Amino acid sequence: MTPLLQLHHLSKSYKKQVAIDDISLALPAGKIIGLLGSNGSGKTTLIKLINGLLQPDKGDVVINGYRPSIETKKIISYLPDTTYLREGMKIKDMLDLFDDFYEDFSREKAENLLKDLHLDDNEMLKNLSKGNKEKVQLVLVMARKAKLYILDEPIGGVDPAARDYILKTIINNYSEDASVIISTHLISDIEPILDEVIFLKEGKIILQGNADDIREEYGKSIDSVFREKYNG
Amino acid sequence: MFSKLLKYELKFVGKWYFALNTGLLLIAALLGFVIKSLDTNPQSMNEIIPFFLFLILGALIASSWLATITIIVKRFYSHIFGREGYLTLTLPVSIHQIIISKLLVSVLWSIFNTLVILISIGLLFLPSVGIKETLIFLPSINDVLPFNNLLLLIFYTFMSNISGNLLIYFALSIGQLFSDHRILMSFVAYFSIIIALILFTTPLLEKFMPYDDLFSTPFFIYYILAFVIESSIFYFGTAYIIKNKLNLQ
Amino acid sequence: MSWKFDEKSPIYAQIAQHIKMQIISQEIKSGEQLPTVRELAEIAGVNPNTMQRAFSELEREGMVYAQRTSGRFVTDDKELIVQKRNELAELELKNFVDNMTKIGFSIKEILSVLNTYITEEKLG
Repeated sequence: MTPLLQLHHLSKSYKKQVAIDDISLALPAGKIIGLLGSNGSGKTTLIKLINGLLQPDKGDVVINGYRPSIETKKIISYLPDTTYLREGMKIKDMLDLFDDFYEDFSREKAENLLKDLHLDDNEMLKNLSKGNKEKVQLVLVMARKAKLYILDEPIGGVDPAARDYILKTIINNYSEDASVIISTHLISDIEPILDEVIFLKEGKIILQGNADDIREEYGKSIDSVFREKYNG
Repeated sequence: MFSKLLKYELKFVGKWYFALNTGLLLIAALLGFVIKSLDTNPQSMNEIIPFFLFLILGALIASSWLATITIIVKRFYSHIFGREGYLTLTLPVSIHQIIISKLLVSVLWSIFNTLVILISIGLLFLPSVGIKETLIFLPSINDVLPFNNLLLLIFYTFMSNISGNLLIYFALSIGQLFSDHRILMSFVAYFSIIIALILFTTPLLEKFMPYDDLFSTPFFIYYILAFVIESSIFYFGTAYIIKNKLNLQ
Repeated sequence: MSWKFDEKSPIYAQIAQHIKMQIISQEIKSGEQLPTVRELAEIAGVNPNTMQRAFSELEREGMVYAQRTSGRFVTDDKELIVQKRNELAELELKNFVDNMTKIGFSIKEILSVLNTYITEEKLG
C-alpha cells in the first residue's frame, strides 16, 4: 500500500542554517503521529514543506502520490501555530469560506463543534480572545474529512477543559484512511493519543517508532524519553 | 474556484470606500451649483465658501485615490505575506489564480475611482453648462480632444492600469526578499523600477516616433506594447517570488 | 475525563489491566457487552489503535471474546474470572510481603500486624 506521506532525502537551509538535513520518511494512513522536537529542530520547516509553503533545496515531498500542489491542498487540513483568520469576518463567514473552497468540509460538523465549545457563529473574529480564535481554527480544520491533518500546537493556548475536548475530537475524527500529524512540545498531554512518534533534532530524525513500544523499551513515558534525548 | 476567489475579493472593500466616493460626487455636484450661481449672481456669495468647497473637493479626490491604493496594497500584502497567507496559500487554488483574482479586482477599483473622479470634475461644470448642452457636446469631444482613436485610448488606459497594479505587487514581493525593513525596501523597489522604466522607455520612444504627436496612434501602440512587456515581467516576477522565495512568519 | 496513565508501562497494557480489574471486581459483569474500540478510546482519551491492542491483549488472556457482528463481550467463564482474581491476589500478597520484609518485618511480625490492622481498621 502506498504510504500517505513520503519524504525522500529532503533538505532545506536558510542562508547558512541547515533546517532539514536529508530526511526520509514514509507514513501510512490510519495513524496519529507525534512530531516532537524543540524550537529550531526543524518541525515548522518540515510542516511548511509538506504544505507547499516552502520549496525544498533537495529531495521530494509526496502526499498521496502528488507533489505539494492544488491536489495535495485539497486533502491536507492544516492548523498553523498562529491566528490566520480574516479578522473582519464573522465565524459563520469563515464557515462559508471553507464550505466554498473545500469539498470535504462538513458545515454541520463544524456547527456542532462550535456549539460544544460555546462559540456563537455570529461573533466577529476580531472580538474573540486568542484562545477562542484558536478553537475556531481547530473547528474549521477538524470539520473537514481530509486525508492528512497537520496540527501545529493544537492545544497550546487553550484551557484544560477545552484541551480534553480537543483531544477527544481528534480521537473521534480518527479514520483508517487518514492520518494526523501533531507537532507539539506538550508531550505528556498528547502522549496517550499517539500511535507513533518522531523525534526531530537539528533537522534530523533521532528516534522514530510506535509510542507504546518505545515506552516499553525505555520503561518511561515518551515525555521522559524526550527530555533524556534532548538534554543528554 | 477562481470565481470563488473573485467573490471573496469583491466582498470586502468596506462601506466607507463607497461612502467616500459618494461624498466626492455629492460635493462636486454641490460645487457645481455654487459655480453656476456665481456665474449668474457674482455678488451673492462670499468668495470664501466656494474656495473651501474646492479645497474639500481636492481633499476628497486625493483621499479617494489614496484609499484605492491603500486597499489594493493592503489586501495583497496581508492576504499573501501576512498571517492570512497561511490561509490563502493553503487553499486549493494556484498562485496564478490568487494573483489574477486580486489583479482583476484591483483594476476594477482603480477604474471605478478614476471614473468617479472624472465624473466629479464633470459635475463641476454640468450645472453651469446644462444637461442638454452637455449631451449635444459629448459626441464632438472626439474632435476637440487630441484622441483620434478612442478604442486605443481605452486599451491604453486599461493596460496602464494593469501594469501599474502589477508593479505594486512586484514591489511588495521584492520587499519580502529582505529580512528587515520590508516595507521600506518595497518603496525603494517601486521607485527604482519606475525610474528605470522612464530612463529606458523615453529615449526609445524618441527613436520610435520622432515626428509624431503625443497621443497619436503610434504613441498608443508603443506604450501598449511597453505595458504588456512590463506586465509580464512584473507578473511572473511576483509569482516566482511567492512560490519560491516566500517564508511566512 | 480521560483515564490517567503512569510512566512505567505501555499504555495498552495499562488499559488492559484496568479493564481486567473492572471485570474481576464485576464492575463490568460477565457476559456484558463492551463499548466499541472507538467509543472506549474516546472515553479513555487514547488512540483507537492503542485501545485495539489492549482488547487483543484481553482476548488473548480470555477475559474478553469477540463475536463477529455483535462486538466484544466479557467472558462467561466464571472459573477463569476466579482464577484471574486469585492471580491478582497472589501478586498483591507477594508485593505486600516483599515490601514489608524490605521495611524490616519478619514473617511472624507481618502476620501479627496484619491481624491487628484488619481487626481494628476494617472490622472495628
